[in-house]
Amino acid sequence: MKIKYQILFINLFFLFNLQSQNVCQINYVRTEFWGKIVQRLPYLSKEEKDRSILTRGRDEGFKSKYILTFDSTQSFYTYEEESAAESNYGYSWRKEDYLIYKDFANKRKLSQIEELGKTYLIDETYHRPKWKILNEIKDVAGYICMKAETTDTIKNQKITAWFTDALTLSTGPEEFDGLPGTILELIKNDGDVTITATSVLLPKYPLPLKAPKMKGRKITSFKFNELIQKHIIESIEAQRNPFWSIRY
Amino acid sequence: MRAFLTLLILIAKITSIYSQSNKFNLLGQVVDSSNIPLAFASIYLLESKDSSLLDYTRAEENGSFALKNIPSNNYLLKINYVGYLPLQIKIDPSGSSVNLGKIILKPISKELFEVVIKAAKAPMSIRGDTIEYDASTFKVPAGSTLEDLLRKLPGIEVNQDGSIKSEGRDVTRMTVEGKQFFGGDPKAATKNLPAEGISKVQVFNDVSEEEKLTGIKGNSQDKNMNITLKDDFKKGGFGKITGGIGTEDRAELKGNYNKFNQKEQFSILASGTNTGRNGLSWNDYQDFKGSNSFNWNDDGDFGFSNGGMVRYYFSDEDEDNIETNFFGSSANGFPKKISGGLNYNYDNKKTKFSGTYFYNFDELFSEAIRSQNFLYPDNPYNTFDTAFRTNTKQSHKADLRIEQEFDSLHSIVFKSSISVGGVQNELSGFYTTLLPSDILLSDLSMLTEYDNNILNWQNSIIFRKKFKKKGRSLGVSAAYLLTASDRDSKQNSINNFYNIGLFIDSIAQLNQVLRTENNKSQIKSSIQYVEPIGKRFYIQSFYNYSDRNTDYQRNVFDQFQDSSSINQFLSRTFDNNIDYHRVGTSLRYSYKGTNISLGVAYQDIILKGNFKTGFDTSSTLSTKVSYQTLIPNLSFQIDLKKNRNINFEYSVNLREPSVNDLLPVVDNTNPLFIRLGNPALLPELSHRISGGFRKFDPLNFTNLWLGINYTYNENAFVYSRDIDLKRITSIIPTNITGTQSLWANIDFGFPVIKNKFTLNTGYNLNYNKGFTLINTLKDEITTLGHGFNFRLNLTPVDKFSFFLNGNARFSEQYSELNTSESAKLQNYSSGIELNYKFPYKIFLNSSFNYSQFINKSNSFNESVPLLNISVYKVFLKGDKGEIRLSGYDLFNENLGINQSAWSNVVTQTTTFTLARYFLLSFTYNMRGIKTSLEKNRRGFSMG
Repeated sequence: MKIKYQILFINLFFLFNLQSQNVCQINYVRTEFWGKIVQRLPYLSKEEKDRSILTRGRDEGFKSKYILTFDSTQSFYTYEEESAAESNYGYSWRKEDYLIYKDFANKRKLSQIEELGKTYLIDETYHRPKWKILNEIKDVAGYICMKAETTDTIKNQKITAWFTDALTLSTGPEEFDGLPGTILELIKNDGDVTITATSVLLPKYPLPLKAPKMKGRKITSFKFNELIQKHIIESIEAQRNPFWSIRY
Repeated sequence: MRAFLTLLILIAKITSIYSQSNKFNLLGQVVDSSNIPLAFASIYLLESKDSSLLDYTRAEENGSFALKNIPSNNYLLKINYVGYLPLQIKIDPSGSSVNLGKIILKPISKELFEVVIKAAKAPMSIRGDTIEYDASTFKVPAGSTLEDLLRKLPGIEVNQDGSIKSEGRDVTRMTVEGKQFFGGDPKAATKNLPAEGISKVQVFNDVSEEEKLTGIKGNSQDKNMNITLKDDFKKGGFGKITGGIGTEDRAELKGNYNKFNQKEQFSILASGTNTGRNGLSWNDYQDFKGSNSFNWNDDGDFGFSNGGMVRYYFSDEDEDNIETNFFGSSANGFPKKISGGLNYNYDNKKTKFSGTYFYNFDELFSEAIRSQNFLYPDNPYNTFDTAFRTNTKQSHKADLRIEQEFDSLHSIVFKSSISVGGVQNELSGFYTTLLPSDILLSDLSMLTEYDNNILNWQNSIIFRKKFKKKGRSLGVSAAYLLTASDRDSKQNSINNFYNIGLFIDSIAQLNQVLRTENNKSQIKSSIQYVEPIGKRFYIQSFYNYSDRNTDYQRNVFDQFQDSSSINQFLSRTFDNNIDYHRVGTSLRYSYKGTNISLGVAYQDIILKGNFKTGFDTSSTLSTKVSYQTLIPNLSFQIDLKKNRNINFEYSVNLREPSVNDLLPVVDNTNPLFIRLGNPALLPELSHRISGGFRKFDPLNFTNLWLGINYTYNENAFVYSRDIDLKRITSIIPTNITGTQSLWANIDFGFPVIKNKFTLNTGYNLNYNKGFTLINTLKDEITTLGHGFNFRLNLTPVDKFSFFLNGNARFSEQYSELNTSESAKLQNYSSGIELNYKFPYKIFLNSSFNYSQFINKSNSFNESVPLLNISVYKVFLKGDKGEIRLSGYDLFNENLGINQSAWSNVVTQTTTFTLARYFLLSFTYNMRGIKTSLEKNRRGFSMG
């Protein structure tokens, strides 16, 4: 009798643990240094590029907040809600739709991105990008991270990522992932834009993660990248900064 | 058969050996130096040539791991465990399985770990056993040497005599950027190199690593250190100078020089020109002011949308402004401008300091002809004037701005500026008044000159506090402004009156000397408090206070042959005080691009004035009035999808009368226009509605802009005129309700051929309803204007750009009483700009502008064609030099023409202005001259 209860108790314990998927949350801050971004525009003279940097002086960057929510097999990444009064002098700008959902168990990536005036929904099979693992370590948000590098061939940017193996899901902010751990810091083009984790929350409460509702115009990943590349080429030709209208 | 089978077996064996040697297994066990297993260590399999990640796994609890079925190739295996140096092992495949056995990881020294990684948050680079980290993250006071910096680094000791020990071992050799520094003695480097120039400090444990880097064989007992320095690209200096000389005595000279580093910016600027062109531009302004060019949050007049406190208007003729126009004069006539200054900016994250000194000298000589048609229904008349003017203005201005951040919640901004200067003016004019059919009524010859010395002093301070509760904030501001002016003027005039026919009827003559002292001071202060309610709402409340004082004294002396006496009628003294209080609040909603604000304010204005004529203090007139008004405000700005934006505002503005208009005084300074005051005058209240819609398509570069503005006035100020037979006008201000104005505009731009051919078209509408009171007759005057404009940009290839623009403006003015007379004005202008890039870095800039002014009512028809051509060549190494030959107004037809219709009066002015001249100029730019053609015209550049 006693043994039966013991076995039952142990079974229940395991059942409980299996069903409790702990939902983790990482808060990121995305900082854009427009003075640095402008330096890469080929149609500006040295004088115009210098003027842009010097007028800004000590640039703290333009900051926006994001949240990555994940459990052991899925993650999604989107904006953090901001209150009215703490935004820029009480004025709220409309943020373009941006939600990236990754399902590692089913190898699926679903992105809702608003770019160039339209909201697109990209449904693709997940594939791991080619990362180079380097020899540097540093601390980000309390976790020891290792440096890795890759290239974004669509926007022609050098991507540096700092990932930690203490968090096992191989996800990260924006569309980047595929490292042996979670990416806590992402740097584009040596500092033009940085996305850094400010806090990591590992709550112990069991809460299943639901994939959020995402609407948009269906498009393939290939066509979407083609759209971005075409816009960059046309903007440079028109002597306009392409990143005024697309995400850097 | 047997042979075939043997062959088959042979093939099978060979393929099995082959397939076996195609894949192998990799095994090992991760432990520390005490043989304790490092559980769940991370194992990465990388490509050996570029460290690309191929696969990864985790060790078991006992530290052992196995990577199975790996294709045969060269690899790097990287093993990582928190607190230990990551280890990289070369894998050369041999056989079907590679067993690495016990893999020992070395720990990172505790001190290094705590100080470098945890405390300084510096990235640490590990190559084999060599550790390298960014020493610049360790803070040392300014002026510290490398020795001071080393003392702060973990594991490094610096003794009294300067000798260095790293982790207990002597550092006997130091290299800088891999090279020996003064014989390699560490003390030479540590005592001489400044800490702020150091980028990285490398300490070698492994001799072979050091050899690889520096090529120097080391001693295994001692340690060696290598220092790398910071790039110098964050420091710099640049400058530019342009000089030109031309026909018609024209010349230009402009130069600037800047020096900057990470914290400081210093610039010097000088410019002199008498062409009225190529003055200072927005680019020069940004280069001069640097990080102090734009300060967005310096407005201490808190209100509905961060500003909007009632501004005061001074209609006093003795007012002069010495505020410099940085960008040069675009006035018609013959201008001359000399300006220059220094600017210094210091930015230390918490403290920002800027100081500027600027000198400006402006001179304008102009000769102008003006004709005016006064279309009054019962007594119309015309005037025809010729005036020669020389106007000089000079000022010295110094200003400073200090911004200090005490902590993340408190900050303060202090600004102070002082300018000292003067305005000198000489006017010689001949004014004739004629009845219709050119019958001469009167003429006035006038010669006036004045010299005004002015001092302006402005100080303001804004204190901002953010509270712990996010969104709650407090702002307090205070300001003190002072303007003092001292004016000496001489006036001589002869006024002749005629009766029908050329008969001299009466002569009035004035020879006067005037001395005017005008002192104005203002103290103002405001408070603003913002309280958030939930995530989407907040309440903004404010209180404004202002106290303004004016002290004015004018003494007029009549000059006779050998004596002068004070003219009691024209001399006067007055002082006034305007006290202003406003308290208001608004509720605001801001969420996901929608911003709505609804508010109300209560305003109290008290006007006090005292007036006395001459020196006699016995007869003093005083006035005191106060107005209390409740003012509503409603606005919204919404950001919609697809880059659309819509905004709307309803606001009420109160304009109080000037004290001069309130005092019951007769002012006959100008013999043709006598002003009287009206103590019963009420303030003007305007209701204003404005709205706009904007859409921009970033994919196609099309844009649409709509705007509308409507104002309705209650008790608008209208100057009632009584004109006598001699056409001397007496003016008295009154209030009339019902004046309105409407302005609407639509602009649409789209590409015809993307990036090669774009078109922009626009239309605007102007409607105005006003009233005139002439000899007690009330007339309603309606003005209706239409404007059409278009712009064409043609940039088919990089070598060629063509811009064409056209503008047409039609305006008509109708009078209710005088239906026969209506003013019909038409202004046309069109312009072409053509730029071409020839080989050998030769460029052509040319522009042609054609303007035409037509007045259908009096057959005025003038046109001005302006053709400017300049050819230039860029030369010198690095494109630093430019030589340019320019010709302006090649048809020699330049004239400054202006025509307008307002309140039943049509005015046409023609000013003679600088016409054809040629200029040869040379430019040297340290940063190189731009050698590509512009496709768009930009204002100030922020990139």
